Amino acid sequence: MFILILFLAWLPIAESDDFRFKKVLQVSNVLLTLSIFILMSFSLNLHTGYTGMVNFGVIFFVAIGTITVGILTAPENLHGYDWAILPAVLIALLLAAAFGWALAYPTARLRTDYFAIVTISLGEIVRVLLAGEPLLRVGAVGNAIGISSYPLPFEDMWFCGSETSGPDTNWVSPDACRDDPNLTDTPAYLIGEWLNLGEPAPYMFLLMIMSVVAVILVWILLNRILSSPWGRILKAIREDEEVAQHHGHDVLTHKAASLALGASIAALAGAFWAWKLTGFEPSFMSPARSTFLVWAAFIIGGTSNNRGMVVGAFIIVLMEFVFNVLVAGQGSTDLPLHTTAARIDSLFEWLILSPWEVASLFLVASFVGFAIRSERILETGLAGVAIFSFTAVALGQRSIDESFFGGVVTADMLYFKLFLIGCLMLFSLKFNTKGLLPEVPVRPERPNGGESVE
Amino acid sequence: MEVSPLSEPVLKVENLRKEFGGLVAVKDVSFEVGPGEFIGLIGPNGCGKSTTFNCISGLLDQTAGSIEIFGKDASNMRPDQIQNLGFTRTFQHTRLWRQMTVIENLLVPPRDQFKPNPFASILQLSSSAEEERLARAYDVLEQLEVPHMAHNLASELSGGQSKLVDIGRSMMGDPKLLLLDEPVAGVAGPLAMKIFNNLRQIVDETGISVLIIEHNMDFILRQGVDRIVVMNEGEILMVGTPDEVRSNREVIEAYLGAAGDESGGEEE
Ligand SMILES: Nc1ncnc2c1ncn2[C@@H]1O[C@H](COP(=O)(O)OP(=O)(O)OP(=O)(O)O)[C@@H](O)[C@H]1O
Ligand SMILES: [Mg+2]
Repeated sequence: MFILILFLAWLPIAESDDFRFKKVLQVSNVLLTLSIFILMSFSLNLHTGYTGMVNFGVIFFVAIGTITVGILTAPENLHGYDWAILPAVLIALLLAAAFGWALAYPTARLRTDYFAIVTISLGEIVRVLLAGEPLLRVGAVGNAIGISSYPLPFEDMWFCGSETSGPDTNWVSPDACRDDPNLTDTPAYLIGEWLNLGEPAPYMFLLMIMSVVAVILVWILLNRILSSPWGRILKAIREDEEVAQHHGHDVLTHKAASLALGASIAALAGAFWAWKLTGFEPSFMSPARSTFLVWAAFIIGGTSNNRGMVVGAFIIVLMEFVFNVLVAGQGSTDLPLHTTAARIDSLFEWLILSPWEVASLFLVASFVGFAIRSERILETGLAGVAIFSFTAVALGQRSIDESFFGGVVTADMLYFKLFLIGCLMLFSLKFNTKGLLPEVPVRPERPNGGESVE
Repeated sequence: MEVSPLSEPVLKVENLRKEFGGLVAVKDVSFEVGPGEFIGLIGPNGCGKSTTFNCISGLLDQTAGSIEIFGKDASNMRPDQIQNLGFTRTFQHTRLWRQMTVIENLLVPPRDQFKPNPFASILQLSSSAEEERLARAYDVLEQLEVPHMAHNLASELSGGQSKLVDIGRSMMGDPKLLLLDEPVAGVAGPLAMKIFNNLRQIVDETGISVLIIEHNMDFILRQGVDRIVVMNEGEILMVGTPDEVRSNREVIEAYLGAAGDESGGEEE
């Protein structure tokens, strides 16, 4: 955990005049993203880790939060409903909970794997709907798809302080307040001064603080609920739902309640996501950017342990940011991590352009493995030979020319990142099945009042 | 825990029939269990004893027949509803919640948690109730001679220990009618005997009813069972006291065989 925090400080960004401002922005962004992922993995952990319902549709509940908040709070002239933010969030949470509760009934008799398939499809259905359904499009004209132009919570207060912005005031929008040098008693200005930024602190900072508070509140809530008898019942349902039912527990209702609670936690994450993006398209729901990453955090961090969720989410989010920096680094020599990016590129180039060379290297490895009787090395070597011989035969010059513009082979960092996360998951599943922080068994001692009966 | 003054049967099975596809596992079974009775259910392997239990507990839907528990028609109830009437059963193949500790396993069934109150749990009220449950769970473990396993995961127990914890778990639900499916199979002799004696004692003290499936005739005939129901090929062969069962030729031929003769001889 400590190492991870150090890592955060190291996270490089481009040098420039407003270095401190950018650093604050970046750290806020990382922490905000982290909080969102932690909330999502809490939700997944409640569903899958504690109740044993394999849920591949976290993003479904997240999207309910994001879309509901977006549509309800967007101004009416942009096809929204112009609601205040707080009631909109409440409705979003309740709506997600209602969907979660309702989901329990049709899926009651499904086995875990079929339940998983249902949840995947729910997420995909919403994504496709968001792309296709005009009623789900709200916001600035010209934005054909997606939702935008909804207000952000406390943005006004943040930049304008006791004043308000709006068409009838001196300031058209919170941004106008921010740019007004006369407004010096605003939280943004004061914190900007305190952090020595030379300008008002970014809104991201406030959002980050709110999300961290949300994570802490949800953490406390979950801790209490899961250490109560109900948490125990959920685990019994996970372990053997039939027996739990035979010990008098209304399994269906408990599952529905668990789905509902997890769903509203996910929807809360969704609301923060909406505010972080300030406008979103269906692609934010793509599994590679959401469900897959949350599952990775869940598996790597340790199932049925919320602490593990935090660590898992931390690892995944940091990877995400390092790779964002790497992508930038690919493009320009002055940006940080350019050399690392270049190295990955040349490695990738070598893998693609000289597969025979790679295959022969693996062949050597398998000989070594054979010689020292290490089955693992032998297997890895042979697998490598097979894969790269196949690429060598299958990949002609033409496919290389067509895939890489101008014959310049560069690694797409998005895939490289997914590849690394995949490796991490495989590694975790193979060597550390319970994750970094596995479930802690509950071991209450005999209370002092009790007398032992022999 | 009050014994019904009218002494109506707590369990009444009438013309129960269960088919699995073409196979008739239970043909036609009718019997009653009265309040405060300790009843044994015996019969050769595959004669339909566990299937009868499964129909009673709501795990399986019977093909025909009716089941009444505490005077209520339980034929079409869900297992948890049946259990809420004051009923508990164990499974022949012990099914503990494996990734939970033994003590946690025992803390799930107590009936005062059936309607968990989310607000109470958020505010962490009712810790005294939790302490009571915990103290009881430790007492039960001690009676079953496995208190040292309290903090182990259920998956770490031996077969016999699992059986013991399963019995303990079913006691934690304070059942008024308890169905045990071979609870002491694989439990060492002296402890198994002690469990039978304990059950007898609990029945006498609290007036609950126990129906127990057991293959060991020694236990069934001598450890204080009130009546015995003998099944064969999905039907009731006879119902009677241990003495009646021991002297019944049909039972001896169908089930007890030489062992029955032998143990009968020993007794006199
Ligand atoms: N779920 C099931 N599906 C199909 N057949 C079943 C099922 N359960 C039991 N049977 C069949 O029903 C018959 C009775 O089984 P049951 O388990 O009731 O026997 P039992 O009397 O408990 O035997 P044992 O003393 O060996 O435990 C057997 O022939 C068995 O194969
Ligand atoms: Mg059986």
